[in-house]
Amino acid sequence: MFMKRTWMWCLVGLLSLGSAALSQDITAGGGTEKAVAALEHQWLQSQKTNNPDLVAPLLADKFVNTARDGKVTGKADSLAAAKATKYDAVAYDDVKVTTFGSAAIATGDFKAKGTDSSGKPLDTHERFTDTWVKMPNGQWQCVASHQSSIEM
Amino acid sequence: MTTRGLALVVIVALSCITLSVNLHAQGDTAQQIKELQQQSRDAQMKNDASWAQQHLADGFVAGNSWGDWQTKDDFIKDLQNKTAKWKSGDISDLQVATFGPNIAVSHYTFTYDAELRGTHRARTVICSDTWINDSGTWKTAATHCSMVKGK
Repeated sequence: MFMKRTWMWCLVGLLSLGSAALSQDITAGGGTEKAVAALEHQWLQSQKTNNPDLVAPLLADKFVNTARDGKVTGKADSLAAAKATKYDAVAYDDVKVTTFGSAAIATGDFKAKGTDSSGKPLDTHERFTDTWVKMPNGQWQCVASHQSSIEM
Repeated sequence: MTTRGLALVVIVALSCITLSVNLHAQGDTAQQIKELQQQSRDAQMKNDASWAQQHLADGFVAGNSWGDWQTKDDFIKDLQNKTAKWKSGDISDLQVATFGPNIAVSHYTFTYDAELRGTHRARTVICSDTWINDSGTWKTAATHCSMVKGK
């Protein structure tokens, strides 16, 4: 009788632990998506306010940007280009974040008007994919961003 | 040598071994991703849906160079229906960056000539693919390409 009761309590304990772990996983997944979406919003704010200082801490040292014309730049050049670009209007649409453990993929539409880094008028509609990685210090940083133009 | 000195030598030696093992592992991962990238291209050109089924992560998304999105289901359906007819396709300038043992991003140039969903496209694109290690199997979580030249 005593053994049966012990086993029963063990089973209840295991089920509770399993349920708690599952619930934590689901919360962590949803939490990650929200956290990465918030970082994407911070990136948008940096463009809306023409303030690259807001985006600088979001980019990993090994960050690589691939622009819609295939131009590839690292973190320093991307920030320099961001500083030289002046946006009159910028918007993200349909932003989706999918998590894969310590990686997350954010996709979305990007529309902007203004002046590009070489001083030419800018009027663009693009799609982007950003790859985010949870760094050893727990901070999410973007390691790659890729854009392509939408062909009409 | 004092005990403290000996302990210091042991710690330094262990740190060197750990660093060396890590660098070796990163090199192995990069090489593995380079091979998988070629396999991925071969599978795409042969319309091999089974390879894609195994190596595209659930939640996979592809952004192509003309601005369309494709999900894993769309991508596999295209392979199964053989909607792409490839004349040629070559990967070059393949580089891989690793982020820990389970995440890698590849950057490469892809030059191809194909009829894709009834549209002839002959172009050079530059692509970024995100790879994740899912319980020992490397899978593509995302791919995105943009056109460098062509039509």
